[in-house]
Amino acid sequence: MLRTEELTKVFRSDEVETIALNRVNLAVEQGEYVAVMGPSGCGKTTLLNILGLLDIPTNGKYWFDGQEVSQLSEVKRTRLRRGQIGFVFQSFNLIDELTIYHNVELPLLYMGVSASERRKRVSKVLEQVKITHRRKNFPQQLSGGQQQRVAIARAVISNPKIIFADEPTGNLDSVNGEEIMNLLSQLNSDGTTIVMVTHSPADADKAHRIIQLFDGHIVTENIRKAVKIS
Amino acid sequence: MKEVCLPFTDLKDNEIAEVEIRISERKRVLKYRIESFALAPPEKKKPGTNEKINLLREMIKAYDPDWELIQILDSNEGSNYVQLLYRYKK
Ligand SMILES: Nc1ncnc2c1ncn2[C@@H]1O[C@H](COP(=O)(O)OP(=O)(O)OP(=O)(O)O)[C@@H](O)[C@H]1O
Ligand SMILES: [Mg+2]
Repeated sequence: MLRTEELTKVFRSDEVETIALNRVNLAVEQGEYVAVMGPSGCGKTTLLNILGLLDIPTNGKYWFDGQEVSQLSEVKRTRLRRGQIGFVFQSFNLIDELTIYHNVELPLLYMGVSASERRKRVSKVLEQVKITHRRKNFPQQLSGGQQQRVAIARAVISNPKIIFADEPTGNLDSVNGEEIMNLLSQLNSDGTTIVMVTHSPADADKAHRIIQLFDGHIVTENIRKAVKIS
Repeated sequence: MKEVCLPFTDLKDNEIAEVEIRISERKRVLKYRIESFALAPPEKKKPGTNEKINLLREMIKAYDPDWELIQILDSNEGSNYVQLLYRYKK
């Protein structure tokens, strides 16, 4: 599904140079559920943003679904993202001016999906995350857990092959967090590949494999369970 | 509830902390350990990043196989120690 070779990211600002990722070699198979852990500032978000085609590496190679994408232009990356990649962020990142319904519908508009098809798919996915009753509300009127469920609905509406989640339970209490984790596990058993950054060992336990990052390096990997080949 | 947060008031850089949790009804004991590793003797200069990483990888690999690494913890800024959270495999 994806593979990196010596992936390196350097941030330069004025005098300081930060090596956020240092020669990372990583492969994720289709259907896998991978957790990424590590101390604050070790490069987890940077890695996720590059894997999710939101950013490009300074050096190294990256194959997404067989295509080498490390130096792809922003336009091409955006095109590739749509329909293939879903994102879930710690801070939900919903659009405040749009209703829940329209937030979830948005990716389909970008993809040029017909109105009737859009209606069908949005209704179905809102049902899946049990938020249908709130479809006419705006994000600010929802609790954190509800907003994250909407964010997951928005991430999966385009049937992406892979979901990248950056501390999806970071802003939630344990009950709401557990619900989000169950949704992600469900999506994975339905065949969606998941790469999730987390600080929670309990959340990481849900994954097939845990990758430990430290100072921009992968220092160790830990297999938790076998991947079910669908 | 899936996690318990235990504040440690004064865990020094090179101290080992052990926590045991007994869940009586299920007769299950969970053992955790926070292990400190020095990445460089304090009086010496800091090793280069790659050297440090290789050292850390070796230390993790060589650790008692009855314990599994759960998490690398945030360490204090400028500390030459790294703290690792291990769990005893039943
Ligand atoms: N846009 C940027 N410009 C400069 N430095 C950056 C930028 N983004 C990240 N960094 C630096 O790169 C390093 C890795 O950051 P990153 O956000 O990937 O860490 P993280 O592992 O996600 O941390 P956290 O657990 O706190 O979210 C940090 O030292 C950070 O300061
Ligand atoms: Mg981060």
